[in-house]
Amino acid sequence: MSDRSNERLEELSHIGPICSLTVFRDQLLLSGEGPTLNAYNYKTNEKCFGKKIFNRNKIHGISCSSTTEKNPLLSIWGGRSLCISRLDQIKNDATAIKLKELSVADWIMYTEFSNDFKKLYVLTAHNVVVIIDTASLKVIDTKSCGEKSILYSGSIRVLEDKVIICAGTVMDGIIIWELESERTLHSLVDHEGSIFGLKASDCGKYLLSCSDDRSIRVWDLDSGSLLATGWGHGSRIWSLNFFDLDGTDSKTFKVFSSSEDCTARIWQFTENDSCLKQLKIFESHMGRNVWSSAVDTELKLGFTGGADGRIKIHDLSEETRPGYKNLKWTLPEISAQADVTFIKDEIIKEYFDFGSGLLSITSTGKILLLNYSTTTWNILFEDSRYVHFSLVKGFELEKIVVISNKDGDLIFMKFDDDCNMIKKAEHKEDSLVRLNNVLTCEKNGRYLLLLESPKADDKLVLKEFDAELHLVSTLYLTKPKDKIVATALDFDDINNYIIIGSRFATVTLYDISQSSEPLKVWRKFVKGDTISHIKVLESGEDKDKLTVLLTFRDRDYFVITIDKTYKLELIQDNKIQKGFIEGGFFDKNSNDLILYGFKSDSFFVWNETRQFEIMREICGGPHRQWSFTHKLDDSQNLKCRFIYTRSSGIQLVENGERINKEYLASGLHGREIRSMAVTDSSNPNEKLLITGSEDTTIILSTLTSSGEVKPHWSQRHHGSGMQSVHFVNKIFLLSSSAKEELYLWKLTQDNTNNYITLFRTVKPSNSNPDLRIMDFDTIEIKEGDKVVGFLLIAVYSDSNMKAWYFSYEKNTFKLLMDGTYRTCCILNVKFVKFLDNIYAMIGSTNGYLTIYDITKHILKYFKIIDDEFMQLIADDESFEIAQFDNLVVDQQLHQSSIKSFDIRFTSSTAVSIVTGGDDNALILSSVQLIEDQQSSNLEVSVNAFDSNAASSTITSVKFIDDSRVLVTSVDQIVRLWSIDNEELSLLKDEYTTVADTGCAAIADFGNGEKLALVGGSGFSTFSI
Amino acid sequence: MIVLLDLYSLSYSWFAFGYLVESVRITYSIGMGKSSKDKRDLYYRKAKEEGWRARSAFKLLQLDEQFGLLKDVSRVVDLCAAPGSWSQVLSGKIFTENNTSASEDNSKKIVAVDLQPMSPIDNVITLQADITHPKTLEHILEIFEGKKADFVCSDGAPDVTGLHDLDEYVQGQLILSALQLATCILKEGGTFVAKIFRGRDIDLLYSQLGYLFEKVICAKPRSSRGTSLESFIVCIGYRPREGWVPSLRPDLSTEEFFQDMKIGRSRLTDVLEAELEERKVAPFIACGDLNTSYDSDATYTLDKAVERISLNPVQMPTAPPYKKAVEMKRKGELRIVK
Repeated sequence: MSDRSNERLEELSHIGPICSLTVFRDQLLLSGEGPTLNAYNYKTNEKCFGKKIFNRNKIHGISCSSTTEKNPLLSIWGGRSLCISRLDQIKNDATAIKLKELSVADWIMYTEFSNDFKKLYVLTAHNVVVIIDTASLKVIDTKSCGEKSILYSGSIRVLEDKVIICAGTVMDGIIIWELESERTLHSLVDHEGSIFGLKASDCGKYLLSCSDDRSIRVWDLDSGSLLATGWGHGSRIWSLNFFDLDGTDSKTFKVFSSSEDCTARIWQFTENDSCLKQLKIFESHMGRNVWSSAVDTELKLGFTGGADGRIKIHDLSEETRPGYKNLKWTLPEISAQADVTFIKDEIIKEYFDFGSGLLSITSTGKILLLNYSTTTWNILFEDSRYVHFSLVKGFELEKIVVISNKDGDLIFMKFDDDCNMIKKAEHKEDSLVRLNNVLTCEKNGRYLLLLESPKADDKLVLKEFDAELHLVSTLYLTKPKDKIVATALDFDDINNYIIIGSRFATVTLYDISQSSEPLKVWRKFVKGDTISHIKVLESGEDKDKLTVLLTFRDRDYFVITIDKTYKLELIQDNKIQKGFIEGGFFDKNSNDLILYGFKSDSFFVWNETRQFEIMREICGGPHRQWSFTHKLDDSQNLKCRFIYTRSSGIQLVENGERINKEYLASGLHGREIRSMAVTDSSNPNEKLLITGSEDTTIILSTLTSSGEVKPHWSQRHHGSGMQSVHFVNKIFLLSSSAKEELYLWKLTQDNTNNYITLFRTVKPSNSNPDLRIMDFDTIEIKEGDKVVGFLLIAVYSDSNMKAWYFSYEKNTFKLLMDGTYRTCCILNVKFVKFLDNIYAMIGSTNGYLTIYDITKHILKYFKIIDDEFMQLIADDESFEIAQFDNLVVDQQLHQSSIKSFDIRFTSSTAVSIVTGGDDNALILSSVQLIEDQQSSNLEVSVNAFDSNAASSTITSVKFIDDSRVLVTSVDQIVRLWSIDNEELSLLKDEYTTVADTGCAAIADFGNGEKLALVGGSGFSTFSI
Repeated sequence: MIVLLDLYSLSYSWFAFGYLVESVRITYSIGMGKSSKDKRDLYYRKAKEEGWRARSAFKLLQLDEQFGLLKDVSRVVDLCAAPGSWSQVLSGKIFTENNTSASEDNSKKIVAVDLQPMSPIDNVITLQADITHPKTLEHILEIFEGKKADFVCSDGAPDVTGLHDLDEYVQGQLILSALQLATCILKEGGTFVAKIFRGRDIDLLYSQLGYLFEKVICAKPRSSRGTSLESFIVCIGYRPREGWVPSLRPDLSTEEFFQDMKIGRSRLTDVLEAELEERKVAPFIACGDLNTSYDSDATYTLDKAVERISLNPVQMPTAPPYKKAVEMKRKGELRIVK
């Protein structure tokens, strides 16, 4: 690597594909993250150490000589590189001695130590085993079974008397051979396609394999016979593990697998059953590909490492954990337990989970109680007033249950922690024609009941009770003019606001200290159907800011604010991938947003902030009676209870104690990052980072100066892979993708959260949009001193260019210019201003740098006031659409695509341009405005170029300051170039483990603290 | 003419890779003939219109346009040839454009090799065989009547996993296997063309090929998408290594085949030395006329009438290994039932 200066270019942090995981003693997990080995303690959830093992190669595997010894030998491999070292040496020499990088001159598939640890067997991708003396690090021998075809997977099992090599070829076959004799024992040919994973059991009895055919197979290693096949993964399978396998006598065991389909799964093997049975699915990674997995067979924990850089912990034996419940009762069972007789067709209609028990009512008015600690059913009483129609609601925190009927007969019951009824009271509400809906809400010792009738003239009755079941007050609230059916309720006890959500995305606000009339009704304020849940997140004394979470009974959820003037503003809107959201809350401990609801045949609980599933119960789908409650347990883990009716019986599931946290590393995008941008955060030590990815999401995160990234939101609005993201200012940003999507987003920061919401979209030119919007640029527009909008120019894959004016006030994009360059794809665009002239500079797939003079069209409506802003000087109603009709520069610089360019002003009439191409070239050119009395012309000159500036496509160029440029390329080298004296010279280069290196950004933390951010298949930060 | 070779020991070989990712994996899941794909990729539509089996035909046409590769060649070998679009181009350039045919002109021969079966192509001898196997070499030499080839090419690519380092390694191995055969059969001064991925270690390959050819150029035809890492290595003027005799043996891996060639490849040493291998940047040339060829990254507006005519692909995709899994999924057999 070049180092001709004192320049710094040091990798600080990396998030990227995790290609190997190994469980080690004392709850230590070793993880290969690029060339770096990281160790996590999964008991304390801390990262213990991290050490770069190889210069370039990613770590693809880790073997330990012993998992119990305190300081074992480790064999770490990746690509052609190998490292054999004691754990202590790796751990302690954080900086001191560089570990020796060895090579067997071929790609390594697997390594394993001999029983006495004196030898290491290294299986290469050509099915050759190199035997290495672990003391002298010298080759003892090489072995081969004679079939030197290329492998995609391999496994070595060292037994008492022999060493078995399992080799997975690229076409259908698995070769099993014995090392010493070099004899082929079996050729297993039942799979189709490349064999991507192999694992022999410790005892040497079983072999697991998986291939491109998406099946998992279990083989008898001795006889070579196929024992079982498992189908279930929706895509290729990458890794396999055994667990619950006790010695050679074991007739059953389980398998933990991970796949391209983004899931990990548990499978059950039972002797003489040819079907490997799928037991459980974990959905817990972003994008695609869960590359690696490992199992702690004692604690029964599974670990997965994804392309998203996340290390997720899975409980493989949840059903054995303390507190875990999975109970079900059929109606006859309930009838027997409670000693009651159910009449024909009698069913359990409604129930409420009050924490220590479940109170339920049958269709004939039998009130039954399920005690959670004894798990038995009892009958409390029977009440004929509740035959046919009844509603059961309550206040969970105070263990109060309320049953009601259509006549407004309300029975209140209060329970203790042992599920004993300690108080009972009756109330009556007879103002309603027919009571058909009850909603409840409890806040700081106040208990509110909202009663509703279907009759439009009837009031909404709001009754408040105290903890002793006494009625405190009754309010009769006038319904909004158009009919609503209340579906969600919350109470802001600081401002005395009642917030009611209903169908057709309608929110009604009452100030119950002021009036019984609605203060404000927002109808269909977003596209969406029924509001399933409302939760006040924050409210201020001065009524200025009420922040509310709303979930919808479809994929959407929102955070809104309501100010003093009852202006509703969306500050967060997003959707989950599939399913219906029934509710959500912010986890008090992590501040992560947790959502729950149904998708297809299951109920799910989902961590939306971190994007993984917490719980899933196959319940048959949403159309049933159900109840969901949650709390934080003593160790601050989320405890969830889901009760549901299935085939008229009742089922209850409750997650057990988690002995570990959910994840060790949170990760970022699951596929390649295509564009990113940085802006200031309200916290001066942080930046806000926006990343747009091939996985179609854009993620808003915070970035610290040490390179740590904490994701907040993964926005799912885009329907295709991202092309570009840029900030307009600190509040607004734009993103573009294929299908002609160009979206304007707004950021909001409050005391606890950073929010992002889709503010406006640009209407596609076609009803079936298929163009990619490759890039865009903006200039902010002022009116007086106030920023009122921005100019936007975007370039398209069909050579189209468009410019708009966006007005914040009118919230519209007004088209100003429209035109076509040639027939190539335009890749990037920038506005350039010289004195009183404005230009659009574009780079395209034809390698040309092109400049359009757009002065006469733009300056009709805007005035250039300084480097940054322009001034609006005309009414935007008067805007007319102009053409890009003044091509002033069309200069070929590169042989093919200008992948990226950046500009720096050298004077008010000249600009330096650095372009990077698909042709490996980096070119420094300049454009200058030459003015004389008659005319003004642009003069282009190429000042310097290096046609071999990289050994592959240059994908991003970014000015760091006036004299330095950061360049990334697909050869995975990050380069710093100096452009002093109109010359290009390489200052420093550094390898990056980020493959498909595609985009870069600079984050300036002030005081000379700058980070270079590099994105692609992963994300790295460099200190520069 | 189809010649089926003895398939002994072929089952573990890996040159089923010959099929193209873009023509198999994608089309199986999405379905072919969609007009949106025709618009997104004009070469795709044009290939169907002009009867090419895959859009990659244009890549060879543009490489030939730039370098005149197929001028005056008589014996050519197309490796990893399925579905056969490069063989189609070769047949057109060598026979049709010269108003001749294989039966009329005995001196000209095109051999296309792939592990996958290929439908017949005029004037092309197709071999279903493993390119790493010595018998394949023997057979080609037989067809060439002992004479050496003027031109060897390979448009093969593996079915990528998504792990970039692994995919690049496997592609590198594929090129080495093609090169291995090329060193056995190419005449001095002959030309070798192969598909490459311009990843992190491509400069190693450039450097190694530099020992074997007078000129090594990285060429990117305009029909190859700018967003893809794909390019083609054009190696002109084969210079056999002095004192090194190629020997294709079944007991040697490709690594071992090249180990004594002294082209800067690292080899296994007793002390497991991780040698720094030579790296070199090959000159880059974009091929295809800027003004007359289409841009594979641009979206074109199809004539409304044209758009409505849905063209069937020239060659249907072969059944992928995961066909059964897809069928089971469709029938709902992959779900956990409780």
